[in-house]
Amino acid sequence: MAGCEITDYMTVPGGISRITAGFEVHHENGSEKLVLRADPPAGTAIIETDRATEWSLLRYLNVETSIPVPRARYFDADGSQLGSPAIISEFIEGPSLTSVARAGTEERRRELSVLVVELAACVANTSIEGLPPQLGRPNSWDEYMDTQIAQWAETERLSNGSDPYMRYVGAWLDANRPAPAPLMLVHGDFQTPNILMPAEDEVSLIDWELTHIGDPREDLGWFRLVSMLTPPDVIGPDGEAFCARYRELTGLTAQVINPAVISYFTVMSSLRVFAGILGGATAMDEGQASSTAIAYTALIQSSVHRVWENIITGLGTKMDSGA
Amino acid sequence: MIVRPSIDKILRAISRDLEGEVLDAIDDQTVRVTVQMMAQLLDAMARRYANESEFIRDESSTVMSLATQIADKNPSALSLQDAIELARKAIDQNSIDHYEAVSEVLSCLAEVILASHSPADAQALQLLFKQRTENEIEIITDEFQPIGRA
Repeated sequence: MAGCEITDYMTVPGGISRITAGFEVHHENGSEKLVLRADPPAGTAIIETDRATEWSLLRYLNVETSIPVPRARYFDADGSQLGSPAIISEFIEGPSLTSVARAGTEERRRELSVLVVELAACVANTSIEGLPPQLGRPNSWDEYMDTQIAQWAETERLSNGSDPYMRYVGAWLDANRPAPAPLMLVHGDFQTPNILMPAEDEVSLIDWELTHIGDPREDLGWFRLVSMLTPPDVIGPDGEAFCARYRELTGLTAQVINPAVISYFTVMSSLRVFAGILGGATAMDEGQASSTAIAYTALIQSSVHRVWENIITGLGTKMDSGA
Repeated sequence: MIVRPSIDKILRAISRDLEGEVLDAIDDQTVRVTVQMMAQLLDAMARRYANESEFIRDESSTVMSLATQIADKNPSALSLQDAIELARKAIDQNSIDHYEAVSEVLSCLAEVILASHSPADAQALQLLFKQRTENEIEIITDEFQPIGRA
């Protein structure tokens, strides 16, 4: 973008894993607003993810799918232009679904839950055939679940402090596996702050750094977990209706999609982010990293522990209740 | 060594100033989020400091009690037996090292109990996690909501 002028550069709070900033670029053809997502300085990231994989995915989603995703425009693969590997995308003007839900009435939240279910189904219904190979391809649902569940104990063993919830949850997940689902595209960080609303009934899904091929119920479970931690929960008040609509849109059965199963995945889906939290805590404890954001995850850890404990206590082995 | 005001009171005072006059003087949204995180962290650390010894003592006692019972019933649960042994040895170390060793006992205990499918033992295990969770929530408080996600 030689010869361009950058103005109104402003970092965006909330994107705690990457440096996120909006800015306006002025060039010979006019002006436009864009967003930068860049790797933070070494040792300060809460979760390590790969910008090249994210770039390939975004370009694929932009070109080959109808999922509402901001257009990815530029990529600095090695950081030679911008200081660290970075993606520049179209700026979506509009509040997050979190803000809209907080300001809205019960009726508005019900409308939002319809937008959420349609968006979730749109992601899950994406054909996985043409997706970038870097996303990986599990051989089967059983193998995928085996790997995911084993990581709970493994993650705890790799951290330098003992977190007994990890092995407790891992053992519980293993003993209470739900009915299998087809392997589908999973956004990986499907939550209301990552859903922007450029218009009243329009959404745009951002933050694709944790995307993978896996069990689509992970996105629903993770959505619920974040909603529980940072209300309001737009699914919670009518979980049955949400599941019914999701089943309609995806063709999945009631045995596969029901509120109890989503609770199971509320627990299971937290591993990816939780592994990052424990990794960050370990790095900080060993003096390899240091930041307020990493220290702060200790509080989030406790908050998530409570959600896990409540679900495990309440759910027992009722995973087939919606069948 | 100066011990008054106590550490928790000092941390709370800093936290209040951060959330008050410091935050009021900051316009940058990202910096504001960091300062709010700092204030929440300092508050939580003040509560942890005020309760840590009691929480560690109580949790350690209940975990070791159930673990010993389960280990006696399951002599083949070697990882649990080893963890108990290490926790007993760690009792003379500093309280954090001892708590870490007891936490390892709890991890092993969870794996043994969930593999044994005993409802009574599973319930006793749930109580241990409930106690631990309650202590963690006492530190972050019931009202805790993560900063910076909107």
